[in-house]
Amino acid sequence: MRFRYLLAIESSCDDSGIAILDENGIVQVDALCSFKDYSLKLGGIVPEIAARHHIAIMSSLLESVLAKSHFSSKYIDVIAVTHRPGIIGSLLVGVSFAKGLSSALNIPLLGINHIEGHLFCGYGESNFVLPPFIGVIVSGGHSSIYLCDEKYNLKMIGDTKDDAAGEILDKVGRMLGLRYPAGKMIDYLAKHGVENNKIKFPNMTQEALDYSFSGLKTAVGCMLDFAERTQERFILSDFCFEFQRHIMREVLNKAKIACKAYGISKLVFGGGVVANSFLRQELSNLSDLSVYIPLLKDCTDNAIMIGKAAVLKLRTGKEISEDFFVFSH
Amino acid sequence: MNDNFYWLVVDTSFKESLVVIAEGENILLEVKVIQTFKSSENLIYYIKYLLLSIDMDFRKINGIAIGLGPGSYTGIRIGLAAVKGVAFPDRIPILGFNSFEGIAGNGAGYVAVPATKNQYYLWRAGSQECPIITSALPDNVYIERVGLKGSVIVKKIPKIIEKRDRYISFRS
Repeated sequence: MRFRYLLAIESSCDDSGIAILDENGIVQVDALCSFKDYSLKLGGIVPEIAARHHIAIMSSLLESVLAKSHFSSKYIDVIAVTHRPGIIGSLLVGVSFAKGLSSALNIPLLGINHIEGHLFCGYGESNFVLPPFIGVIVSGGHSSIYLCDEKYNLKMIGDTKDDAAGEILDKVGRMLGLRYPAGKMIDYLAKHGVENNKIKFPNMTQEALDYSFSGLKTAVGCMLDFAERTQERFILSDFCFEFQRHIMREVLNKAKIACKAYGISKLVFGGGVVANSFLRQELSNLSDLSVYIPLLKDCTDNAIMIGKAAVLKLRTGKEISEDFFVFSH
Repeated sequence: MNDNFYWLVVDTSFKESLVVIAEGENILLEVKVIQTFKSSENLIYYIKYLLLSIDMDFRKINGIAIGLGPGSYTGIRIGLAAVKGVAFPDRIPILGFNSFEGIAGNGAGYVAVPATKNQYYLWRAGSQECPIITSALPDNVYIERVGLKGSVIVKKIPKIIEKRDRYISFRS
């Protein structure tokens, strides 16, 4: 399918994003509006509030993008929107807005999987990672491992059985009295911490590719309870260091097992947790694997990745349906 | 209102969504959809279908009116987001209206919409008060239609809730 400019819309969680890309996947303009201030006040994302903010901001965000680029909406030839997975109320707003816009402009609309956005977003201006590769998504909502075949088809080979990695960081952070989003705070504190043999967490690594973090959360709860009863004291930064190291190594171990099991040496990471400095350091130290990680600013949800995934799908001639619904999974 | 002024009216607040195309005060076409799973997401197709039926396109629409509830949060969000998308390219003005007023039209009486636990949201047409939740409807009120699948019009109101009046009252 030929087109000049593609409009990408992302609204799967609490970030509203709109971007315009050309047919080579080069970003012309983008805008992101995050509701983190509200989430900070409320101690987490409230789906109803996030959905209301998407409605309130969507038109003006598109207006600002068009104004910045000096484009008119008439230049847009195709629209891509996230339709799964995510918070259902937020997805519905983005998809309904996109359906209305595409109908009014009489142009095709493509539904893009948010996971594909993270994994196919390319690294550099328009370079896409050539398949096959193992893709790992670690964020507040997902901790999954995917196998991407030569035709860019994704197959989930590992998932979390309970909580996601980012979710555990936030929940444990709350137990430690840290503010939301605690992942960032734990990362900051861990930089000032050192190894402490007294702080030990249960070993989680098994041969299966599924993650399970809820036991770790329970273990931390028990550890803190015990420490309170016995008046034992930990240095918070040491605790964060050990906890972060434990969880990130678990993320990394499963990825390595997946690469070994499928005989693939390319590893692509995506998701908000990839912003963690310890994980980035560990990934850059992997010498036997080609590792692709997004830039720090691109770790969070954004419309550019949705646009790039759409460009890739259009370029590879994959079957794309315009008739789609939203799904939370 | 000018007769050549085309309205798109959408209300997805209740279990029965409706889409209306009107020219001035005349309703040209309307469709009511009993909402089932995912039917709200098809809203835009119903709008397209109506426009196609009368050989119109989105550019001919001069104004959009959207029901803002009280009602289903999800339904309202879908309706509002969709019409914002439709309105964007040509900057069509959007007018929000109280969905209860949309049902009552110019009539006097009560509008009731089913709530949970055999209760109703009851609103006196034309009043500035918020709807109340009640299980006891006034005796002299005639219930035109009761069911889980649609809004209930509780009539003391004579036969004024014809389609025409129903959607026109908010336009003035």
